[in-house]
Amino acid sequence: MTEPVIDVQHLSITYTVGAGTFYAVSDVSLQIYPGQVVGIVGETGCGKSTLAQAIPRLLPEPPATIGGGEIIFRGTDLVKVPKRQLPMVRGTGIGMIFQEPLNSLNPAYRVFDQIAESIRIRHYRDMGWVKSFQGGDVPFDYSKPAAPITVGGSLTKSIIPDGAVEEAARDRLRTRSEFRDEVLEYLRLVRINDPETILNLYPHELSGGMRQRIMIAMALSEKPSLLIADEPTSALDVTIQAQVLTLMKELIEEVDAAILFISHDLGVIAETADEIGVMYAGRIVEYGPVAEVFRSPRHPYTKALLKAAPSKYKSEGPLDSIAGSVPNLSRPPPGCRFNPRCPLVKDICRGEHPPLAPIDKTANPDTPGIHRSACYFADEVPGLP
Amino acid sequence: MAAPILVAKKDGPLSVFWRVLRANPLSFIGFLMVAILGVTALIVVVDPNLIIPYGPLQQTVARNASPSLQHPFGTDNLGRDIYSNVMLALPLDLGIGFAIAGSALLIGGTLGLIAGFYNTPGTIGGWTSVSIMRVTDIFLSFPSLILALALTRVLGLGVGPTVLAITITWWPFYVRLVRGEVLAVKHLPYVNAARAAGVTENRILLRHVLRNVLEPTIVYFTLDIGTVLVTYSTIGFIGVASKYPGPNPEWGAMLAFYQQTGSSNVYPWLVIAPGAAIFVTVLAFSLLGDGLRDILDPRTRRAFVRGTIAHEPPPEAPAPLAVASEAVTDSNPVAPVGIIDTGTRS
Amino acid sequence: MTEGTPLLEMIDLQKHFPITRSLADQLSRRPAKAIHAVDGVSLTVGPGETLGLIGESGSGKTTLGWMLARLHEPTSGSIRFEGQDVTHLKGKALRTWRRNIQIVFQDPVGSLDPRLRVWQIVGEPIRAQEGLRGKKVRDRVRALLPTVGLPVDCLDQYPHEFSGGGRQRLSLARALSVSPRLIVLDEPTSALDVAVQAQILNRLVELQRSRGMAYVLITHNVAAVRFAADRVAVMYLGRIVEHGPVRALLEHPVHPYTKALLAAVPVPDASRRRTRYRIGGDIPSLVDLPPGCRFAPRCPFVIDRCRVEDPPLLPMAGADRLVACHRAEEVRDIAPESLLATEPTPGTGTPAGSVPPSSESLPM
Repeated sequence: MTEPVIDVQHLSITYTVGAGTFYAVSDVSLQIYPGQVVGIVGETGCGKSTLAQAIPRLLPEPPATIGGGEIIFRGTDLVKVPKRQLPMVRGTGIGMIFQEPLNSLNPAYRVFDQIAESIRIRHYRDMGWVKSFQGGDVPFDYSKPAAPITVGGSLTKSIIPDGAVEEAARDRLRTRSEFRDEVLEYLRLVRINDPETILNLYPHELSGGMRQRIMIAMALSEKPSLLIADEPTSALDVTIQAQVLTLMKELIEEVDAAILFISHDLGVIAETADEIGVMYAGRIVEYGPVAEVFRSPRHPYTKALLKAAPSKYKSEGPLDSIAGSVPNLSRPPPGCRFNPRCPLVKDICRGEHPPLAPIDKTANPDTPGIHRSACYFADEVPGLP
Repeated sequence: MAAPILVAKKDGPLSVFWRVLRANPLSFIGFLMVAILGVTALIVVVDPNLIIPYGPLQQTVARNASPSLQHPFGTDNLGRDIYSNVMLALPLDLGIGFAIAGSALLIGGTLGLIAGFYNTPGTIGGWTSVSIMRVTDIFLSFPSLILALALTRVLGLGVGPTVLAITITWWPFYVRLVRGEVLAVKHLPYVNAARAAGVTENRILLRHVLRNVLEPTIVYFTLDIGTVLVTYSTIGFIGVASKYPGPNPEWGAMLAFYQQTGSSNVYPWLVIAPGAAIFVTVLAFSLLGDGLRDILDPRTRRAFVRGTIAHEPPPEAPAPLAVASEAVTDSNPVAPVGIIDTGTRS
Repeated sequence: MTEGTPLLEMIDLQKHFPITRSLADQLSRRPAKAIHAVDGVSLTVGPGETLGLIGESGSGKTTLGWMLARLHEPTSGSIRFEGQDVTHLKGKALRTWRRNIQIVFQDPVGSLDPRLRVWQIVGEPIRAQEGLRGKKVRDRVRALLPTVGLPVDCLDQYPHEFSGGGRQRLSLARALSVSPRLIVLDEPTSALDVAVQAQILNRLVELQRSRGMAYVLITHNVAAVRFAADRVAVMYLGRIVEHGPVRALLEHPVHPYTKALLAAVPVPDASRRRTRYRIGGDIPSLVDLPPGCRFAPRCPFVIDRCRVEDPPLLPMAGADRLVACHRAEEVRDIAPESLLATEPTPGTGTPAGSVPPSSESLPM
């Protein structure tokens, strides 16, 4: 049994703002193995984007606080890593694809330069110029702090290491010739025909679908161990979204990174993920293989969500929706956070929050990927209308 | 079955004001300073004898005295009390700052509104707008200080003509500022929504555009008072504004006089006092201006409101709307990025 | 088609946005280019009926909606409301007529003035059209809020205190305040969660039944149109490519673009993991459109004639349908699912998302 690439254990994240404390994420655990795609689905405010940004520690830490839990990435707990060492983790360790590529691509640089920069970062890592997650399974040792700088030491030591200037000059030459081939290769990987034509274009001169492909190319060119895709197709037109999803489905097979895919759209998750986690009000309420969860949801919220997608005609009566509204995360309801809106609610639901337990009571709860539900009455869910 | 709703307490505007100021200590200090300056100026105008022991030209026995209890800022070579002169100059300088900045705001702001809003090419409004902008450009191409000095030559010496001269060079900045804001707001959907409702163009300008343009303009205005003051003092320093020593002292004129007559080289408090007065006034308005931005914008203003929980459900049972607390919104700049998947998806 | 006088008729509407030309362009005397956002659209809407407009970016549906609300002036063509030509109304006549057609905008954040309170925003049309002020407006707004599902005590709050769904309801309340005959809804659901979408759509249908209003529902969300619309028009690059009753059109789409659109919608079905979408190409820009059918570069059924001759929108034989396709009869029975391949296409051979080779079972 291989180790998971990322192992999130009981993670809690709170925001402190003027009006109070928000429990954005509470007690979330998940594991992703190499080559696996885990989808997280949920509505606005459920905390899925917060979770996605917390894993590479991209959240601004003053308003956000990691209240508890661990994020173990290839053996190292990212929560304990000091801030200035975090850039080593990102990029070549964890890659991210964001929702709106017009914002995530630098408008002042051409396509070639943006992808070349990602490739260069990976180059530095491979050459050992930058400490990062070297090779396969060696976890980076963050326990040894960097040597403190003494006055005497800094005076005698040269600021620029020997040979660095020549290396930089050689690197600049390499940029245009060697990198070019690799850039073209990555552009072809994301199914852009005639990539030479777009090398010199700026992001605003490209369509949304192209920009997203370039983002994917940039993320993949760093060969990350974990790829986090946060609503990557939500800003695209329907037909373009279908194209990009097809591309991602094929790349998933070719690339063996672990992938965390966030979306609000159940259909998109169905197309890409192996396992799905449903989030509500900061907690994972159901988890399991995609086919099983869709076929037989075991949490009232999941069931309601599947039913709420409009799929009928006006003459067939009103659409199913979920009564009530998403709770205010500064004062979440006691116990199970779905209880104000749940058709199965009983007194016990307002007491202790139900644990995310396997629906098959006889199974070993530590088996990864087993179908779990955070509901005391998971067995009654299939009987709901 | 509805979840408890966070309802904003109906705070009056005053308590909101205090709360925001408390949350922003620097602007609170600025506000206090401006308040003190204002009250002091009022006292000086109404009943100067309360805090001013000597007249501006009154010569006392102590000549070139260092700061002491009797003469807090010292005296000059004829025994005139510097403290009294500085205090007497306060309402005048404040008044000058407001007069210039205020007139420039009114003139320039109005022109900017017109130029920004009625600028469809090919109409009367379009031509007006173009003419306003060209005239503005012409004025802006002169260095304002030099233009003001030149105008004072034409208009004459004294407070009034100098204020007029500076105002003439000052209004173009407001045209640029306000026009830019109007152009930014003009295309927002809520302006079109008002049009679709059948609101006349003039009313759209006054009701929607003006209100939204007012906030950054007022902030700029408060910061501008400081700049105006420095400009006036500079012109006074070059020696063309108020007469000092005279019955109506003015800080810039004091600086000019003591520096030019060389007394300040030997007795530095003669220039430190009026200089510090200018500095304190400009600082006060700058700090206040920063805080005003937070107070005026209803979005950030409400972020500091404490809420209570309303436990009874709203009258409509299946009310699906969440009157969410302020920070759980898409547009509140206080809420950090990522706190809410705003779901704004296309 | 609809019987009786249609409430709203659009006759060959066009909207061109001229592109600003540099000095060099003007000197070179090349003809001025323009973006043909809406290029000849004719539709009708009956009283109490919902017309859905589906399309992606560049289709011109939003521009068309704005033209109906007279926020854009049509470059040519006419709009008739209850039989009268209203295309060139101006000034006071226009303002008075505006109470008949209201619009709910796409952007729930930008369409509400952040500095005004709820009663001022929702009551603005009342104020403008009926001249009421102050307390009378507040009373009208107070009575109106429950019909959109908002509590009555939020009159004095600001828009930013509401969630996305709440703001959309405010926009809707504003549109309803003067009891219009028709409301143009521009992407009313796109910024909302699924559950809130369902609530809003239910509310819209209920209001239509109780007030007899017509809707023009502009969206890219096919499911919303399926539920709320009676008739649907599919737009692509400024033209209508297909038009018909909602059930028939969505279950048996004829035009290749409609099929492509319906096939692209993600479905929460785990077997979709193995499907590959086969329509490639980006949506082209509206400037410099090539001659012939606008969908030809991406169409899986394209023949030479399509690239040369622009197909007109014609009725299909034996069906209540208008289609703009040269091969309408031949392709009419091909299901959208055939545009999804189930075997993975090889990585370097046939790039995914490209037009399928002609040896497939599609008629060529």
